[in-house]
Amino acid sequence: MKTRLSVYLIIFMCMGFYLSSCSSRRIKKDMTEISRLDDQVAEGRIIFKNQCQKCHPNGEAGVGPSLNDKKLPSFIIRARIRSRATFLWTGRMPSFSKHEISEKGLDALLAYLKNMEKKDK
Amino acid sequence: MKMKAILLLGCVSLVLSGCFKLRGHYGTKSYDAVARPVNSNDIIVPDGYKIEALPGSFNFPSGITIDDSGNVYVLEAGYSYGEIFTVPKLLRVEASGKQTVIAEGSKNGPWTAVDYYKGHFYISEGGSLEGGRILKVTPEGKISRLVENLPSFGDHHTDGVVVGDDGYIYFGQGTATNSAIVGKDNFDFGWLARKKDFHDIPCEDIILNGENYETENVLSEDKEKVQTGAFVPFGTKTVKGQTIKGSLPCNGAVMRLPINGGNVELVAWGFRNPFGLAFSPDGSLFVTDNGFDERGSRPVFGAGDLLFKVKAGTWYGWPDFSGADSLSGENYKARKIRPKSLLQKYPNKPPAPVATFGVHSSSNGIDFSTSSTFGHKGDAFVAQFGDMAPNVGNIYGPVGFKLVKVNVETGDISDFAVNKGSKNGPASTLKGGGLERPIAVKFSRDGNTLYVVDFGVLEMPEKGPAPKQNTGMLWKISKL
Repeated sequence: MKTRLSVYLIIFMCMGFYLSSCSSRRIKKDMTEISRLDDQVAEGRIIFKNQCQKCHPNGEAGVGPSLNDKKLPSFIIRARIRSRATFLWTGRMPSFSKHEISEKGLDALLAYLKNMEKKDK
Repeated sequence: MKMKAILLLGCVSLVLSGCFKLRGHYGTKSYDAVARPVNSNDIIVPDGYKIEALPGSFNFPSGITIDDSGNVYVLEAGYSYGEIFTVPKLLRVEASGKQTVIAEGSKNGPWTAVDYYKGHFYISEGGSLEGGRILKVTPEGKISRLVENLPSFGDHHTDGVVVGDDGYIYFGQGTATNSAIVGKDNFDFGWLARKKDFHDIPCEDIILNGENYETENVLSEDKEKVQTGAFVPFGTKTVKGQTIKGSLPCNGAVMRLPINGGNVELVAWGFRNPFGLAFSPDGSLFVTDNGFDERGSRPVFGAGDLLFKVKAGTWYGWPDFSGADSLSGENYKARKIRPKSLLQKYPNKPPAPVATFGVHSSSNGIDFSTSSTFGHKGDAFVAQFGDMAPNVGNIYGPVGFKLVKVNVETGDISDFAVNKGSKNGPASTLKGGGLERPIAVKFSRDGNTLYVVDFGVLEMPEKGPAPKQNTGMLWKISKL
């Protein structure tokens, strides 16, 4: 039973990897003024600019892969931001503690990432 | 167990199969001019704005200024990475595209920036061969040297000249190296063979931890191993507790001198390559600083380019910090090694940046909007030259190659002029007629027009940077 669970877990991780890395690449140009965003998305954008921007500039690929073409469920993104174990410690992206990004801040960041996916120009 | 291993292997294969493809070398090793199609429709700007290309081309343009009458002047660098030397020039540019040479420099480029102030031009001369200089140029083209022998023989040059309302000329001086250790990467740049004893000079006395790095002796045919410490010449060891005397002029600093020349004074230090300087509408000085590369004897991963508000007398962290973050943390580990701290004591806790740009974006020229007509009053506009990967480190996709806007209160960065298409990158790789490598920005005197200097095509083939001559140009952004 335990082995079967582990296999399911790995399959789940593989799907996560696949979805996060191999979706067709659609870069959106984000020129939205922050004042036009709702409060939570705007808060998330500021957190993104301070914590994520340097590796994923405006959600595009940089030293990290692009984020604005990903269709991962929120709970996976949330888990990955909190712990590198989510993707089996692969990749360079650090994890962020509650001290670095609060729970409220993480909600806002996820709202911003979802908003980023919606843009297509 | 076996099943788990197979699944894991499959998973890894899937990821490595091109989904996360790193960007490699591109282009050809040639410095010849290439045809550059120009089409402003290939560039997106925010709704309500338009971008136009001005007629004419430039050879490695690097700076721009505007006189009291509104005339536009463009600087041609006279040097490009790739060790290409041409003639540095200050050109007056008319709307028709007609160019008039105001002044020409010697083989000591790159001329990196220009500012106009009360009837004269002030130019920062990079000084690859004879040392950095700050030049004063009359409207008739007579050049005088206000300061010379700046320590500018290395990776980064004398940069970002701007004149303040206090009558002082402010300028940046880049570091000789990536992270304070002279190594093989500097030999590959070309300067170490010319200046075997050159190294970084701190602005104040520092005490070292005695970290040394072993490399092959690139200055000897035997290629024996040598050890090199921080702030000393190639092949020189340092010991724990060793003091390196600070002096002026120094590396990695913003300095200033009186408008008619005189002694150089320190404003702030601990920068890496303080390329772009500008005063905000409230009179505060801001500087763009190019972050560490993943190269050389002490490579650093993941250090973004930074925008700082300059506080006089402050140390900003180089070579042990990226902004307020210590490099000794896990996040900056390169080639599986954490960069060790080089300094035993820090002059102060380094300040956090106002904004952090993409790693390797080469965020360079900066200016502030002062116009309600143009909009975004008080925001900074920064030209991003774009990455020089893979020589500076590996990336998943092109970084930079655009103009961004920064809210200096919140650190919010948004694209302001960027090439259309499903990918980011310079026009030449996107097969379009848009932006190549923006390097400088300047608002018109009335603040209603934003000029963007585009350095032109610079490819990164395996044999090193390959800038294409006469592919630079000037863009103009205004409200519809």
